[in-house]
Amino acid sequence: MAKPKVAFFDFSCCEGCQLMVLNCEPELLDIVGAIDIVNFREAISDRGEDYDIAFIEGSIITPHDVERIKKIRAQAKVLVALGACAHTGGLNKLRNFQDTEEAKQTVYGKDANAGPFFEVLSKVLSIGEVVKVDLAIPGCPINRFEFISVVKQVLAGVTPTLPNYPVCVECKYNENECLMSKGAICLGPITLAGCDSRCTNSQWPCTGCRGLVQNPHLEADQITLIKAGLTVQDILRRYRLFYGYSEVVK
Amino acid sequence: MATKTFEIRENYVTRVEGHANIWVQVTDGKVTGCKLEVPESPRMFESFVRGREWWELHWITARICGICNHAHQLTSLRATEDAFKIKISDQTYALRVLVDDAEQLESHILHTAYLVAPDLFKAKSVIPLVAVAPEVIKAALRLKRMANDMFLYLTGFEVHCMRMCVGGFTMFPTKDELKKMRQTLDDRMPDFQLLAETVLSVAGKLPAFNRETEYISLKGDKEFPFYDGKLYSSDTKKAYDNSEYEGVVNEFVVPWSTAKRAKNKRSSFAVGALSRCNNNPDLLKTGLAAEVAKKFGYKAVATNPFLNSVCQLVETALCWERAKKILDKLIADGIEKEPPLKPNFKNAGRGIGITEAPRGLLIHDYTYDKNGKCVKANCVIPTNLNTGNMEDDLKALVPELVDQGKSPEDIKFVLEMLVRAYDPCFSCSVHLIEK
Repeated sequence: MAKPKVAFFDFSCCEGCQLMVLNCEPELLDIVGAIDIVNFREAISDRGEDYDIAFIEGSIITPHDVERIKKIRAQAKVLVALGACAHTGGLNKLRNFQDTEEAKQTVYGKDANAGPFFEVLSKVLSIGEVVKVDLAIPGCPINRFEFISVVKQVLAGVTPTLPNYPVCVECKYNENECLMSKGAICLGPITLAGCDSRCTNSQWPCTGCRGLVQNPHLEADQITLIKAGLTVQDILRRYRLFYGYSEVVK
Repeated sequence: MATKTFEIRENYVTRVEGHANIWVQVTDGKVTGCKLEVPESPRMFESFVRGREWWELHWITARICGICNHAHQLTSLRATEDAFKIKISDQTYALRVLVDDAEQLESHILHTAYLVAPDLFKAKSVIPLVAVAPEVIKAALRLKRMANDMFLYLTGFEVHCMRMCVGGFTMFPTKDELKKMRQTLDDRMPDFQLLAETVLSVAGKLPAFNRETEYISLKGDKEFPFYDGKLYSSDTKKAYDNSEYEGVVNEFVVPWSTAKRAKNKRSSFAVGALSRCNNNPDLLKTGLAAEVAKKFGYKAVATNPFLNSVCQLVETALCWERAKKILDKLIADGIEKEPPLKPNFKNAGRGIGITEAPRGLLIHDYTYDKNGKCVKANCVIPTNLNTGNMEDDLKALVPELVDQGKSPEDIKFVLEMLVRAYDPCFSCSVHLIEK
């Protein structure tokens, strides 16, 4: 069997998820041996336009981004959203709760529209809001073990599945003391697992970077948070960090 | 002559973090147009962090950059702690310096081995080098893993870590983990030597191009400055207070770049490893760093921007030895599980944090209100500070290359190498938190 041709493309983000791919040091040579990487601008100078699988990192912010992602979609047989910015829009979407022009002026002052590169969409979009996404690897940044597992499954012709339970399941399995019981505000109960509860393992509350679990118990979560002394605005501020500009948090 | 009139356009320079385009127009051997464009989409952090809380600013602003995420967190925490007048403990200080050293190690090795080395071997990436020099690539992978493991033990994760927080740490490495890190620094030394020797063997391929410029960095007193030091310019020979930074970096906007530009005494200035080494020669006189500098023939003040990669190896040696020293002390003294210091909102005001990210000077400047919410923010990013200098380098380098009779294709290759030498981070450069 010919090695599948794989490309990595980056849109607006910190490129930390591509870096997590490069951080697979022990497995990197095996990965490189099993696939044919034709495009990975952060690490490779060759640029092939002939690929089967496209990993997409980052959010859609400019009109140019929209055109570019459509072309990639037309070429790729499988399109994978890599990381929170691609998957939900990530914290880039915090800008969606502000007036775009005011935000630009806050940053660039009188030069807010200095040239064509300064043109942005009125709302930041996730990849799935512009083109069909076949699979998402969530997280800010991604879990590299999950990335490797997805690559293996795709190579074996198996449709990868992600866990569909909240972070609390993994956190309990890791025998952590519940941070909520210690007075912290943790989004673990409503956030999709698969990160091995890496934040709560380090005594840092979950901020929801993998997005909402399917059918989250939002009402129960909100009652708990209000009991803990949060206002509706406080809750929204926390939900908005990573859950994106979804109906739940508008 | 026909060959002396041409145009180079390289969209999306590869093997750099983020997006940049090089455009050069040469007419009759003279540069008639030269731009380093940064078309990176504006993310506007400086706008959307307004209203966010004191405890999460470093968590959010680290997402400006995946490569220097630890540097962003360290700088952000300094700014927030300054804003609330929190004085961190000696132990927190030592651990943060150690994290910073690991950050320099990881980033410098990534840059020299993955991004710069392929150019010296005329390869398109590190992958073909696996066949040419498997032992070196494996050594580089082990070195990067060593630094990444240090992050796992110290901060909980490689990219966007969780244990560093305002006032201290949420969790600490165990004694076994401290010992493991210390041992690995010894075990991996031959790998570093192999990497340095390999780069040295091809260092002659670094273009001989010199252009003197203003070098701006932190300047250390006793310790080589990454986490701490005074803002310093090689032109004014003056050290500045943190509060004076705006008068030194003078950011401005050009239409062809969503990354802001900066200038001080000239049309541009340089930051990064070369500036740090040039401004702190007295702190490079001993130990392994001095040995590496000597091997590569680096002496302050060097004016060849391609030597930035050499200075990164010098700094790698320095961070290596300092990390060993800090670990020895932490192992001897033991780590106390200090709870993080909490801010007193009555103290809220403006705070400035300045550190050296691997690619140069990094400044976070926040103002908080009495509810602990951020009302104003400004982040000054090394790549913004450098893009003007890169462009000025391109303008000076192109005529030299034309005079040497190089083809447009060869010139393009060298220009890309130049941009890469600065270890730029273009997605960082359009983060934007501000005024």
